Amino acid sequence: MDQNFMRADASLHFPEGSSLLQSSHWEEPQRARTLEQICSVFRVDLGQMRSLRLFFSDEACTSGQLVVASRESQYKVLHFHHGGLDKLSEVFQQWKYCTETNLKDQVSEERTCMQFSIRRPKLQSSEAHPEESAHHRLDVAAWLRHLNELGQVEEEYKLRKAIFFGGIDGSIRGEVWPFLLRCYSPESTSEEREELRLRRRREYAHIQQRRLSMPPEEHRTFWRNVQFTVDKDVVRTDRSNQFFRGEDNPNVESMRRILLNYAVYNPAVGYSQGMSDLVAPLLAEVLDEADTFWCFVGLMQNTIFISSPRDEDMEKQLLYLRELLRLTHLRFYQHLVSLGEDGLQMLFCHRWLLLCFKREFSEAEALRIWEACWAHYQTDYFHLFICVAIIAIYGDDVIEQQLATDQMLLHFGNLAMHMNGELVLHKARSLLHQFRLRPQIPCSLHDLCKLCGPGMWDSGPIPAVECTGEHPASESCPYGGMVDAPSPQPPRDGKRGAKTTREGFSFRR
Amino acid sequence: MAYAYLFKYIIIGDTGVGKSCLLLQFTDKRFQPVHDLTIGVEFGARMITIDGKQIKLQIWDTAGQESFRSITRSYYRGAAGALLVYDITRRDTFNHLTTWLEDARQHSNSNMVIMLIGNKSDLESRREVKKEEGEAFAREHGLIFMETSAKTASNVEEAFINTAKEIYEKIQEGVFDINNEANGIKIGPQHAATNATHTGNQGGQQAGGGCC
Repeated sequence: MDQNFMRADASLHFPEGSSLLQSSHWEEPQRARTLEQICSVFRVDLGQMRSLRLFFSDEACTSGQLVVASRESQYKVLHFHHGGLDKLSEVFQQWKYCTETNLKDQVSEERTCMQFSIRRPKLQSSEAHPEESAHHRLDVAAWLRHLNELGQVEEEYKLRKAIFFGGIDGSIRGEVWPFLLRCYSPESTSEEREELRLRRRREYAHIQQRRLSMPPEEHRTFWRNVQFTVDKDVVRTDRSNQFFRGEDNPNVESMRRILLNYAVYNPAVGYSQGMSDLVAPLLAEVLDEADTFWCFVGLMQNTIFISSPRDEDMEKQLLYLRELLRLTHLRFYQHLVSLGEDGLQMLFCHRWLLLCFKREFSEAEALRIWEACWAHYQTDYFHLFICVAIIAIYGDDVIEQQLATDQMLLHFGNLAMHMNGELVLHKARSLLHQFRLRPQIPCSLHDLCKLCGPGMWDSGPIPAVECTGEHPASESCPYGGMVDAPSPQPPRDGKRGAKTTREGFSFRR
Repeated sequence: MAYAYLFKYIIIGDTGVGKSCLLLQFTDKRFQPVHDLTIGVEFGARMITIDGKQIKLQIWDTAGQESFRSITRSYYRGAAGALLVYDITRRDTFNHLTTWLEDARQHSNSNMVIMLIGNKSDLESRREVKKEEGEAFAREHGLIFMETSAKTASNVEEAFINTAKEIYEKIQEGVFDINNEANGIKIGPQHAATNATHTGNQGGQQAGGGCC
């Protein structure tokens, strides 16, 4: 590709509008997708693009993605799996349009609004989570090493940590997920688990029986409130996944029964749309219907952000997210503020939170993210760090182009299934580490740490609490935060700063 | 892509009436019988021509069961047009129209043009709601009415375009204040540059401009 080629192609052939509306995950195996990318032809005038970004995914900076964004937030993502992106990068760096974007102050008449950037995967070594890359994917052998001769998990914390960093091998997900979803306690022995499993199997059958023997009046209500929607939804959930594909697929029927039985088991929650998206991957990995049901019960109980999709829960998540952004990505936060209420509602990340990024990344990457969140390592809110990571990596356009609310929605919507999940996870872990190094945190984020088991600051310095002063109907900060917190010692430069004692910052009141 | 105006549309109605399919048929001219259910807010866009002017329709689509205040508020806000959809094979979806209409009237501006759509007209044998009933409801509430089929594409173009025509007429009549974006209408770069010698899109695309 030479520069003339790039400039000569004048027509813009992005699909207008919504071709990315369809989530095409699982549609094609990776190989076919790659082939299609090689064969399909598209032309863009790079000089007329809104942005051109290179994301390197390997240490050597040869492989990665080239992302071209039109002014209407349509994306072309070119994957370089086997190198070559570095060569392209060199070409771009010499190219007039790209070099011009660096001359911020010398805006010429001809200057386009194109943004150009190159992102290297390497985070500053001081920035990366110190335990990064010390862990490999949890495979059968590693998993068995975590169990003693009775089948108990020896050191749960170590297991969660290993999963947080390395993920779980697909072959043992069905076995390990029930622990993460707290179906089984880590102290349980193999024997106890087998017993529990049989008991739950009977209970599941009983729940199902209850559903099938409802009196007519009750059944009519159930049908109207739950069954009708479930029936409609299961046949439009993960249809492109081989596991659920085709007419009269028995797995779809299993998914349907699990959801219906769940609504009987927990009538207060019943069924709301989105649940089928969450149960489908569980079923596809755990396989057994009754086991999946209890995993799903665990998932609904233990993940804050989807257990009850109600306003208060969503508002709480958004509040934390806004505060995290204010703390870690001030420019983005300020942009949201400048957009007013609509901006601060962050519509673009509702689906991220509801489905835990399931529709934003390929299945393999999404499940890695689920596991990292379920590991509850150092925080119960890792999903919020994932949100910030996505924004930090893919949100430059939003700030530079001052995108309005709808454009922001379009921007992130079009990025779905085109983002690099590993990079996002890496960044999120780094953000968590950075957060833990903070000498002080605002009281608005105090509760972010409250639910932690072995807490967020179980080791290392405890931050001071700074009051943000937004406590309606109470004169003083309930967390004892100081409006003008005494500035603690700088935490970095090798020394562990902020000598506040643990007693000085209590998680429980 | 230069355009004179951008209209924001929303699609509302019970779950499973075919909202996303109507959108897909209009923007991509295809029907996908198995379509993953919508969660959160999704988008579609298409350019149409009315009175020789390029108009970009930006169509918002959401889950029929969507209940988050924050979503519904932002969803309705600033919509110039709405497609209120029911399924002619399911009377329930027709019976719920009043609730949807109340929601729409409550959350959006009073000038919003609402088109009532009876979808799935290809399933005549399973029809539960007569066309006359749809017409009567529309008359009673001052809506435009049409029966469509996202599957066969029957009347889909017309539904979106007639709504746009209605909005365009309101602009001509001065009912819509096009300088107030809360009305769901934005002036595009083409309109702004009408009198200039060039029709390219160099202008109006800088930061804060209406790229979309």
